[in-house]
Amino acid sequence: MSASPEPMPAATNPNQWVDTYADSLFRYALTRLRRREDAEDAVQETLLAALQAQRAFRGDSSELTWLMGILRHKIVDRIRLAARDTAVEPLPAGEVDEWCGRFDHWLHPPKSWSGDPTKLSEDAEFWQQVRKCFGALPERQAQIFALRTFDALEAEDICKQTGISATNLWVLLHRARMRLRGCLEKSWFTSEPTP
Amino acid sequence: MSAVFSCREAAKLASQAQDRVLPMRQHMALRMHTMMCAACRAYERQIIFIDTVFRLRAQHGTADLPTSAGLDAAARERIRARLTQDQ
Repeated sequence: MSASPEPMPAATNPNQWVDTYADSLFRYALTRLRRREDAEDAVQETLLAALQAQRAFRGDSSELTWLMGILRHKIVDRIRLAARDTAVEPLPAGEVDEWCGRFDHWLHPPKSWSGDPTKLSEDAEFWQQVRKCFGALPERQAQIFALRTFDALEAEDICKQTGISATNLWVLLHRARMRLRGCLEKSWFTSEPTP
Repeated sequence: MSAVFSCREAAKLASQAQDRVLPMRQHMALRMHTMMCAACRAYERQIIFIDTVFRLRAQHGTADLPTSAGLDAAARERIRARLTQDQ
């Protein structure tokens, strides 16, 4: 490994990877894959792949960023494989429809939310609530929504990488947003003291 | 696009507008609708709010949700062993 111009923990010993990075990688994987065993497998696959590709690490990002990149690819691979087998998930049975009347009006019209996104983005209690709402999403919706927001991938790139069609992607994101807003409105934004 | 444009349709387009540039007619139809419909206006703000708050969290360095679970000792050991074996 050539010398890096930046002082960074580049090219550390793989023996230290588990201690240094495994928890961060695991949390990232668990958010997206949900099942502990799947997340553990993904972390292991990631570190093994990193071992193979160690020479490719050039030190132009932090080692953690590099490992996260590998992990994201592993997760995208899983989504692609799963997407090959099934089309868009049908709406789960018993899901309450948001719409009513001949003109499809809102059954529960959205209210105006108060709150500053910047402040909320650092509010631990808020994220505990988001975790519950996010956990209630069907798996694929959650995975795609995480790619679009947490990983800030463009819709086009998500389609390219996962093989999901643009139309299906829009449906998945639409459903994810619809559910997240319904859940958060009920659990967070209406239980807050509003002026 | 017909003059009768439902909230269901507007919600769908409001979401798509976050992910692509809408074709002009749909864009206009959505703008017309939200101009007149407070619920859909609130909906559009809400979904932008949610996308934004997720992106901000990731920008602060946390691209995941809080969890009490860490990698447990057994899994840690198993992965460590695999890595050593492959080196």
